[in-house]
Amino acid sequence: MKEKLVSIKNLSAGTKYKQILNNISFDIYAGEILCLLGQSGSGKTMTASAILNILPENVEKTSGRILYGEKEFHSGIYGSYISSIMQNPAACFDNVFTMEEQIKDILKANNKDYSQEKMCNILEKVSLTNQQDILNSYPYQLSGGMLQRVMIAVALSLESRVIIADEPTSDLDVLGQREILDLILKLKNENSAVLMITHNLSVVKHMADRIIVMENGSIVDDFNKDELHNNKRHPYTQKLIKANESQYINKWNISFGEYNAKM
Amino acid sequence: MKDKKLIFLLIMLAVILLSAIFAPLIAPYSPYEIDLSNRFAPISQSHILGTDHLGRDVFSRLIYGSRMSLISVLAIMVIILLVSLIIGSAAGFLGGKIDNVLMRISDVMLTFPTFILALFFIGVLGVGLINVIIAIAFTHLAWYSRIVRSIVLETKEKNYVLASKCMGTPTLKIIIKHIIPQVLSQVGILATLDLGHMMLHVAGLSFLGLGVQAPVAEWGVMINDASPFIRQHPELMIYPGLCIFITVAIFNSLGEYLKDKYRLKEDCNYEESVREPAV
Repeated sequence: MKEKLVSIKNLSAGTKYKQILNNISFDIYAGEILCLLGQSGSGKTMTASAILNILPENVEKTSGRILYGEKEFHSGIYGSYISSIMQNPAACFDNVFTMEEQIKDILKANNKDYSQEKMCNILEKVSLTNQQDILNSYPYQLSGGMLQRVMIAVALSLESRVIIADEPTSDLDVLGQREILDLILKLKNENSAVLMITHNLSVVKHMADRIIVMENGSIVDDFNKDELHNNKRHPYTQKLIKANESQYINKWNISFGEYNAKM
Repeated sequence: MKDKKLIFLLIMLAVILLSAIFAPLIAPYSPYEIDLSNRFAPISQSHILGTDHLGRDVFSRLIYGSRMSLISVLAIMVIILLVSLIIGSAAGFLGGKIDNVLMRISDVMLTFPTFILALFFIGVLGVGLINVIIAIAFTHLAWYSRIVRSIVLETKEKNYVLASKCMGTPTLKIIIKHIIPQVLSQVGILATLDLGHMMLHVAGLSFLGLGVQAPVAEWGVMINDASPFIRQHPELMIYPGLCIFITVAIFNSLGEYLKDKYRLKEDCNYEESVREPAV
């Protein structure tokens, strides 16, 4: 029996005028990569925000519970239990401070070793060269791919049990996407889980152990990766698959072919 | 070109500040030394700008007057910044009922013109410099608290704040490291723009006899003292008036310069963030 790391029960949330999440329930188990799939505006990011307890100012949780292991939310779970890799990495670092200061703050807050050597080691794990240059740089001096790697490196070093990756490849070129996805695969181990939010079915096929499909703030499908092409899939899931096959899947395969050829 | 403007403004400001700090060394006479035999003396070597109706040296009183004006304005600004930082941060961060209560109070305060409200507070507290400082600070608090709150609300939703929160950085550390610097950098520029406005407030209230009281040397008081003799000796009103005008203009220009510079910096940051990486 796999360990239940996060349990969402009948979660609903919305603004004064609009319901955004409708009665959502699912669990995240240790050792899996769970992909939340759906169109833009289907409520994926809002679900992640609810789990991370960072809902926007105008959105309120109207009902339901989120359990972290056996416990309700408390600020102490950040870092050690749950952490996040957000989309748009350039916006995830404060341009006023160097990378060294910002990485150090996070490691220090989580009682991890924040020596210069340790920080260089962390960056080395995600194949970043010139670690000292990167540590001395300001965020705006680094590319999106580099910043995303730094975020993954920090998440790796925190050894969080649940990592929420919200469209981590949305701002990257295809080679960068592949490299980041491979790094995220590294985050998975038998004690931890990754909740990956994406609208890209090719990414889902490459990464997921389990897939949850969302439409208009509700969960319409929940299945294992090998059941993706099962005829019993929800019509919305089938629609997504068809749309993906006609437009993107070939492009993705070609891109991966180019990537493999270059390697 | 712009930097030349900044250097010029800073030099002018330094001259005013230094003359206020070293007033006893610069002023040739005591600002309170009455010489009735030498009333309304014209400009001469012994009295650079002449004397007033009590024979006091006008130049010495102007130099000492800068002290009082600057100290009162800086005291007002420090009180406003400290209190509005607390109120605005509490409202922005805690939200909910605390935010509602604080902002409704500030809405009520904002409905009154600041000068009328200051007059009301002085009416309750009594005349005097300390009361003027409290009254002016109090009347501007609502405005500054609202600005601080809106900056806090905006900054706390920024991705880098949310990201560091999700990575386990404690809230207090986030406030100190990411939010307060943002607030101070933006409110600081507004404060520089407002220093001139505050100076006019203090001088205005002193002119009305509600602020600094005679015989203390203060520019507003000097204008008030000279007002009965406006036809015979208009220069006695013009000198302190010019001092107020120049100081207010320096503060305003400096504020405008910083505002432009800050906007420019924001644009540069954006440009740099979309440019090719340097490493």
